Amino acid sequence: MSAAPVLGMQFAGYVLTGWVLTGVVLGSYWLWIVLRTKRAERSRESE
Amino acid sequence: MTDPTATERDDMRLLKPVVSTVLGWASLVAAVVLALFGLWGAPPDEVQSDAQRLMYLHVPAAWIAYLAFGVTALGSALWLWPRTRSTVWDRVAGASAEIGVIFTALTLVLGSLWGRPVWGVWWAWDARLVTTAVLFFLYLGYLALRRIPSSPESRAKRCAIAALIAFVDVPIVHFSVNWWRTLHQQGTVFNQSLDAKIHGVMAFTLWLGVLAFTLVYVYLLDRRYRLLSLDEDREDREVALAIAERVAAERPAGKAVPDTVPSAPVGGSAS
Amino acid sequence: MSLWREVMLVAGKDLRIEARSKVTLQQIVPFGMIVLLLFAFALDPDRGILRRVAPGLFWVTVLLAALLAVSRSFGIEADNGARDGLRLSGLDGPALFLGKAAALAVELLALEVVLTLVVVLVYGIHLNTLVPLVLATIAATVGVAATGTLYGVLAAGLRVRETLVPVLLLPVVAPVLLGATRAWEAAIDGIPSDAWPWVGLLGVFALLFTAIGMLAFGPLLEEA
Repeated sequence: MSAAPVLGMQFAGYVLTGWVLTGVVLGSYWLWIVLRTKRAERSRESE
Repeated sequence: MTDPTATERDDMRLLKPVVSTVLGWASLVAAVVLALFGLWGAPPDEVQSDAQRLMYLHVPAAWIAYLAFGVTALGSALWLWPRTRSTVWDRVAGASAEIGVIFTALTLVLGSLWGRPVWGVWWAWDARLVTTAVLFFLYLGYLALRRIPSSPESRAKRCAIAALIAFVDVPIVHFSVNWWRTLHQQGTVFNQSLDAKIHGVMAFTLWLGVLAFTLVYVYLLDRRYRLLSLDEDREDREVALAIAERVAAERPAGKAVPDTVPSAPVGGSAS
Repeated sequence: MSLWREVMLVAGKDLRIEARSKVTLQQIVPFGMIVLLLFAFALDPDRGILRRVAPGLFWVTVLLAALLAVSRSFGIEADNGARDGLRLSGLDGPALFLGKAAALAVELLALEVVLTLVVVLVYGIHLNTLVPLVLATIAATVGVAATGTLYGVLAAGLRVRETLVPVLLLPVVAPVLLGATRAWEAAIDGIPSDAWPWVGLLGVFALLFTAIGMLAFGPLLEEA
């Protein structure tokens, strides 16, 4: 991850890693909540 | 088909479902717009060039980490105050803390990714990064405390007090770390602070970042709160069921089973 | 009974138990000395590194030993319903807190005296200006004792107490480590007057957490 411009951006490796990581972390967290919520709602329904 | 939400109590959501959905979409839109500006629309910095684009994430993440911590402290205080005591506040505190720890971790990682091209190292003993690291561990301790099973009242009280102690500690940590690091700044490479001079589009993008992250936070808080409510409600029902079964099993056949069973778990013992 | 007498009663109880069981003396002080020895193994004693980092190592060791001391302070009430006894004793929260914290502080101070000797003799530092050093040490010890007692009672009834208290306590007392180390460094190797701001910080920390402890101890004891 050097300073060589990639896609016209310097330090593209660091920058893109940071942005992608943020998206992935928040997206996965959201997904985890959604899936667990659905599971909890389903088990309520079945009572 | 029964509506699964029909048996829900009022305190199981923070926002109405419609509001929550709208907020979710708004967060997504804001995030996309932020990406457009952050990665493309805003110009590279004079000194840091494109590495500065990580600031549009790192700074808002730090802001949300502190906001979430403040909400946890507020929820804890409201729970402790007898007149406003309610499970709602305990759950808000818990949900906000979990989100806060995630944003704190993000802040640290993004800070590291930003620092590497700018400073040449993965970590620097910069006052703000260090304070954020301490904040991370304060949160982790709180989350560890929350996981310990107890009666809801016990656990809420313990966690609320712990959250407030930690909250009170943060300014002291910030102040002392700041002092410590500025005393040692002479002749270090890290004098170049991460604050680039920002103006125009860059300032706009930064505020956009703060807005987007705040929307994401509120949306996640609502959803995490709801999950917490569902889980706690299920636990309550399971315990009540277990108690009812025990009571029924211990009564000889023919004797009446009491109409009401305790709906809350009995006081916690050593756990 | 006045607050003072109640505090003396509780502190006296804890200290008398220590006098009879000698756990601090025979286990915690040796632990501190071993840690200082291990630091010497980990660093190079011949290149003056130890001398330079002695204050920091000293205070890290004190904090680690404090974890044991806190655990012990609440361990003595774990059996025979002693905690229930405390609750039913009619002594109120602030007095119980101050008493236990005071006993803990006394034990820590005793430990610190021994460790200071070790650090002076073995690491080779010279204690130049004593006044800021002593004041910083007292303030830091009170801060650690107050915070330790607070988290000790918070975790008192829990089975995971021994692994939980370190994780809760250490981040919170980070400023004490900072302040105490900087004050010692200033008093020993630097400009002694530089120590005073840190002594101030340590004092504020000690007062703040003593106040919090007095408020929170009673409610937390109820849940333990």
